[in-house]
Amino acid sequence: MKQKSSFFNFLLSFLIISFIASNVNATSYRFGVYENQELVWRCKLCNQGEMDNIFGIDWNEDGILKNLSQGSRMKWKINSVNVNESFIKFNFSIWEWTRKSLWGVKDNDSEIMFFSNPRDYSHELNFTYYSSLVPFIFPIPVGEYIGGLNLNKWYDVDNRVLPTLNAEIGKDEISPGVPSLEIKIIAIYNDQGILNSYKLYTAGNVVIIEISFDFLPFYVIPTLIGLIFVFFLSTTLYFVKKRKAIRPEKNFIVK
Amino acid sequence: MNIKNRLIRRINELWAHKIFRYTLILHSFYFILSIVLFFILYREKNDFIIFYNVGKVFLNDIENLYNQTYYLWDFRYFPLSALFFIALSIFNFEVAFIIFNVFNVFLNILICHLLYKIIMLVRYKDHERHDKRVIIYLCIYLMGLPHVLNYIYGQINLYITFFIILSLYIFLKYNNLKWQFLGSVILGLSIIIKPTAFFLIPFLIILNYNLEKRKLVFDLSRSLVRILGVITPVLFNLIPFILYPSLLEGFLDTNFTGSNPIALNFSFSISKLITNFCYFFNVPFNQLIVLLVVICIIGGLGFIIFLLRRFDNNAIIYGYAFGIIIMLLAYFDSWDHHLLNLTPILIIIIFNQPRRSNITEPIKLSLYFLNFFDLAFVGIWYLIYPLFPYNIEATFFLILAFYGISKHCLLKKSKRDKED
Repeated sequence: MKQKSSFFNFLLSFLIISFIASNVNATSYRFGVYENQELVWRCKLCNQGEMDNIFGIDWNEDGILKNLSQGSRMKWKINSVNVNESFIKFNFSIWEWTRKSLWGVKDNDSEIMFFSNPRDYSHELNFTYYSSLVPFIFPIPVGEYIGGLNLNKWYDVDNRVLPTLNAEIGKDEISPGVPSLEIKIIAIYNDQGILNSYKLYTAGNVVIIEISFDFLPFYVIPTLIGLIFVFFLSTTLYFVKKRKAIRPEKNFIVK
Repeated sequence: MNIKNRLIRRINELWAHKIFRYTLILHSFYFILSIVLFFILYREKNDFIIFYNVGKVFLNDIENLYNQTYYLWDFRYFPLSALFFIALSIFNFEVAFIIFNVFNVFLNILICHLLYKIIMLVRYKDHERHDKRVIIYLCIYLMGLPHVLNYIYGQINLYITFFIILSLYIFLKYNNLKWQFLGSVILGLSIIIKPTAFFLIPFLIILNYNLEKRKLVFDLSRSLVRILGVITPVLFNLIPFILYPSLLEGFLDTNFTGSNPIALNFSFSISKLITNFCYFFNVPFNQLIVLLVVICIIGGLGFIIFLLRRFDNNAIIYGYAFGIIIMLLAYFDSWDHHLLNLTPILIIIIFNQPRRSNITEPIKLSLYFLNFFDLAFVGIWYLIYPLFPYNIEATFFLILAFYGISKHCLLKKSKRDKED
């Protein structure tokens, strides 16, 4: 009897938890950046010749890739973040791509805006208004947001592990002659919705542009060192144990 | 004694084991946790969404079965796999998930029952006569952390494991051609659902070159029956491929040439470690060539070792182990929950070896790591991927298991007798 009532209590609690959990509100989106935050990206690789060939010689004269070259950096400083029922947007100052070590005076002010609900975009989206062809920032939770967008056929979202926006754009698909070859982009975002890694590939998976967010979380190096330490410790212990297990046999043979 | 009484008596016997009680509590916790996490966090982000949708797409718009805009993540299995999920799509999504996972628990019970039967069938003569140790290992399987992910994601690995184990049981228990054919058909069904067992096919061929006797043994009729049995269900997929040619293109693109195989992730397959390396260091590569080279090296090595094995008895168990390890090491996406296909086979091997065999040591090590610790390294991968995007620990232990099995296959008769 007691067992029966415990079972029903358990079942009831389980159903209540499930019911409450199933009534959790739909995701609300926001930006993962805050006022006065500075974001810096570094260009690790830029094959100017190949970019000239694919996008024309003026590809870095305007837009988000203006003055991009290998070793250059770009900085954004967030001025304000606004979220309402329809839009989420932020204003920021931009220091365009430069190889100077000192940032100096900002080059421009700009604004980025998204619908608060990714499903509010009524038409198929592409990001051709960014010369990078993908945004440098998305609202968070980023995986859900990009997963909810109605993107055109170039794009493919892979949220399985890291929020990733892949793009495959065929020859002449942006405009006649652009791109002059098929290109592929892999853009990986961090959990703050900031572009963490951007790679633009041409045929044969050859990278011609690589940009990465210039920030390493504090836990990466200690965790890696810890892992290497544990690996060496366990390997040493294993061999010590193995040697101990073999030794008595050897002694026996010697005797 | 009727079935009900036998069942009650058996449960009472098992209940007397402390480890069984703990296992039951832990496994129930895994199940409940998966349901709670599904409703709180993973309702819009899990693998089950794909299985749930694919049944509907198959019924309503089959030509677009591989149109990935229908799915949260890519659908990449054979077209007929969708048939298995049609029944679920008649329920609403939440109810379908719960039914699916309850069925997963039921499958686990069946898997344990079959595992027990197989172990009793192939257990080496010097093992304890009682079944306490067998129960401990079955509990180890049920306590495995890969079950957590399998339940949370609503994954289908237990279906594959069930078919694999059932076919293995049939191969071991029944020798006549009719049963051998049935065993292969069951294995073929598992390949339809998910091609994890695909690389098992060559190991069904009964071919052995005995190095000591310098004699080639080839059972043509039995091999043919097995290959025919396993391929027949898979070949049924040609029907949708022929009727809708766009399906074949979609299938090949999703599995081998699209952007999916390039993406950075914590898969522990050698192919993925290579593509992660190429991605990280901007090395140009062709994902299909990487895949083929790894299959040729690992698969070729496994098959040659199996071909040159110095024993015949229960050889198919080792063939199964080779086939699954080769798949896990070679195909791009090998996740923690896929290990549920391998751990039961490793447990069978432990019991098929002499009690104090040296060969079981690497296999036991692999079993414990893959069953209990691998999941932690998935978490660690997230912490270190900006500098070290390789989940190599599971790869290492899979290679260790591969080494252990290879060592057993190539062990000379004199040394084998010594171990006895």
